[in-house]
Amino acid sequence: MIAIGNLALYLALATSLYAIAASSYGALARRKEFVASGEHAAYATWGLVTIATIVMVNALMTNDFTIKYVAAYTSTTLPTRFRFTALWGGMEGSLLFWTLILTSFTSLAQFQNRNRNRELMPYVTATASTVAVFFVSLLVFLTPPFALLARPPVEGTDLNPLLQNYWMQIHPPALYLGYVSWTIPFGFAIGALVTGRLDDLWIRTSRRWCLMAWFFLSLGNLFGARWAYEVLGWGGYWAWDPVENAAFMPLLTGTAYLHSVMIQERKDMLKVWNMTLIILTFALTIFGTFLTRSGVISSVHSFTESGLGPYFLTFLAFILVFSFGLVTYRLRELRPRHQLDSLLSRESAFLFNNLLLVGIAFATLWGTIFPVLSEWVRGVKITVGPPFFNRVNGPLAVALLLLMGVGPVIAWRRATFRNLVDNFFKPTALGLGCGAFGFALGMRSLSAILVVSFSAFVLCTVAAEFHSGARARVTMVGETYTTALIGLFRKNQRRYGGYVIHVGVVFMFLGVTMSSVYRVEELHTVKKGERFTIGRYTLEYQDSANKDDSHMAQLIATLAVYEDENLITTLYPEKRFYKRPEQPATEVDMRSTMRDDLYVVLGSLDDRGIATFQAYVNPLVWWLWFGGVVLVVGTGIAAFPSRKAAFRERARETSVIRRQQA
Amino acid sequence: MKRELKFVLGIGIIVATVGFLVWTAVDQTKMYMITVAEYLDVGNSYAGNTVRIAGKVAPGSVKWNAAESDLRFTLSDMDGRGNIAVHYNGLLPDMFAEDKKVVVEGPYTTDSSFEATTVMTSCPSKYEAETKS
Repeated sequence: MIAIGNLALYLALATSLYAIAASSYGALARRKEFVASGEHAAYATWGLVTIATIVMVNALMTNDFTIKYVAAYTSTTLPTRFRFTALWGGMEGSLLFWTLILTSFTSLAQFQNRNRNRELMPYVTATASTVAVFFVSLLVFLTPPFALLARPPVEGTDLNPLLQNYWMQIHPPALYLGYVSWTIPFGFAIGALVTGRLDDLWIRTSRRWCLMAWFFLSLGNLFGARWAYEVLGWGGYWAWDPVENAAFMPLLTGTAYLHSVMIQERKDMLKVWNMTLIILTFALTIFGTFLTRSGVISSVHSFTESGLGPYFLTFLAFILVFSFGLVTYRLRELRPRHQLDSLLSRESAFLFNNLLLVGIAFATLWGTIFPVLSEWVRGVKITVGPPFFNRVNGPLAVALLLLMGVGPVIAWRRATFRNLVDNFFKPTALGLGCGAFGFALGMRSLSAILVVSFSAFVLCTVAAEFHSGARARVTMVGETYTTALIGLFRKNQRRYGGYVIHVGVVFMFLGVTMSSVYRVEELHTVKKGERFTIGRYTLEYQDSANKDDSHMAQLIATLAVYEDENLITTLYPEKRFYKRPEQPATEVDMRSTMRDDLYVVLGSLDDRGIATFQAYVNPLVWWLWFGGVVLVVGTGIAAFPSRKAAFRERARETSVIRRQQA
Repeated sequence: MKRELKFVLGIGIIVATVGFLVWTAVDQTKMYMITVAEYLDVGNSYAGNTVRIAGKVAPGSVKWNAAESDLRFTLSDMDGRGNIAVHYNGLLPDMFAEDKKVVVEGPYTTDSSFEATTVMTSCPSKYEAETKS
């Protein structure tokens, strides 16, 4: 079995190398049979990597401790559902899993486009295969997943208990799907640059891939935050840790890209910028893998200091030099056909939104690599923590929130004073009103007041868009208001799905801001039967219990929670001591409502039953997760294949073919 | 021309704002990552700055008062070049133990005892099983 896994990887290296050569030669020399052969080789790579993955999963399922990886990440007692998690619990497995997704996506893109975009496709195959060569080389030469142990242990070390969690089952796959999906649009961009087909064909073709990439990257970030919130027990969900930043940066540039392509599609502008964004986004996904895998920057995730760093950096440099080289080569043809007309226009709102997103990405990158930079330049190791990121990204994000309300509503080309008053009078009034209301309620934090005010502004513009759209249909088509409202989604999924996403993002803004500004955190040491109060909650420490089995020892406290003297719930925060590997862990318990989360950590519990609790009240944090759900729905609407769009696409293709024939 | 100038100005303002925010925030939030020996070296001054000191918990030095969540211990240099007395009030980190590598964070001080605002233990490795030596 192991021999099969190794052989499959060696062959995958050969087939992916061949795929690059055959597709590039076939495309440049216009030899169709070579293009076809290259695609077949890419399909073969996929098959081979699948075989290797099956061998690995099989070994994980059957406790084959002769394999070092299996011995390190599983044990005979590990439940089956976590055996899949073990596939991405370690470096070798996660690189293998990554390669599997990459080659699957390459095959999917090839299959999707088997009769379309024949001019661009060889380059997509070649680009994706180049990335595959890199990852397969790592697996073959540097981190062999099927490395054997000379003396296999009877029992494995087992998967880190922190990873034996529901969110850890879905967080890494979501993140990897998000990272890897960007390869396909990047491949199309390279194809456009090489062939000189620089119209918006590559953008339209790869739009759904971008949406998917963006969607999974968002989910990956959210799942990770949720995991941190539930498992790590420090009351928060985002710590600006290098690994979190690594996943956050491509999401920012990707968001910028999804917006700026709309300008290119409508106005034929910002071509160089769009190329830059897609290249940066793809490069950041590779950089993200580098950060998580190399251990160059110390993080609480404390990865292994592997020797992979230089290889990743070389690959990254190659990507940047090659792609920006191509952009420079095509610079003249990428010149815009139109100019920006006015600062007060949708085009410039989009431009500024882009700059802010890229600014946040840049600040995040700067803060992440600052320790390395300062050591290089000045020889002193200086690091910046969460305060840095909050200080820089806070104001930029608030400005972005404001633009989120402006962008979709302001007139194209040039907004007149009349337009501005018509579109923005009510939202502005509502925003100011909500800000003032917040102030009257006792809010004194400027950022909180601004976020409340801007959120109301954005929600109002979105509502106005829906309302005016529906009203237009009522008068023109004669539908009822409700039918018209639903009809809007069908008529222009992309636009109205996008608005739904905006609503989700506003909820997230509110959740994040309020839970950071108005978080209450208290430490209480109490005896059994004693009470303590935090916010509007009174907690009574009623009992403690000890449990001990072969898997772990647990200390469990029982806390009755009262609000206005009414018992509302009972919480059971725990302290755990896992036995294999030996490791203590905190098991948070919380009561989550739309208004706030009561989040309790058991700090310590001594023999006499005296317990220390760290309790938090996190206001509105529920809305962060709910915003995520809204975002999922919105993306679903925006990306769902519609008959009308397919028809339009076909019509466009036919007309292109006719033109070519004429 | 005038229109282009406006855009250059608009873009310039955003770029400058980002630059300014980054520059000032680095200045105000920077933390020196140092060893115990570097902290004790009188030649170095970190006055007015936050420092993160890496070292290990000296065996036998831990005094933990659970009732008040009060922790006192001695932080030793990894290479045995000096000790710092550390005081911290808060929950005991999960992995905190004698002889373990820890990082303490707090304002630089010339006092005899370092007031830590945070005590970090190296987290359980996420991607690699701990290699037993």
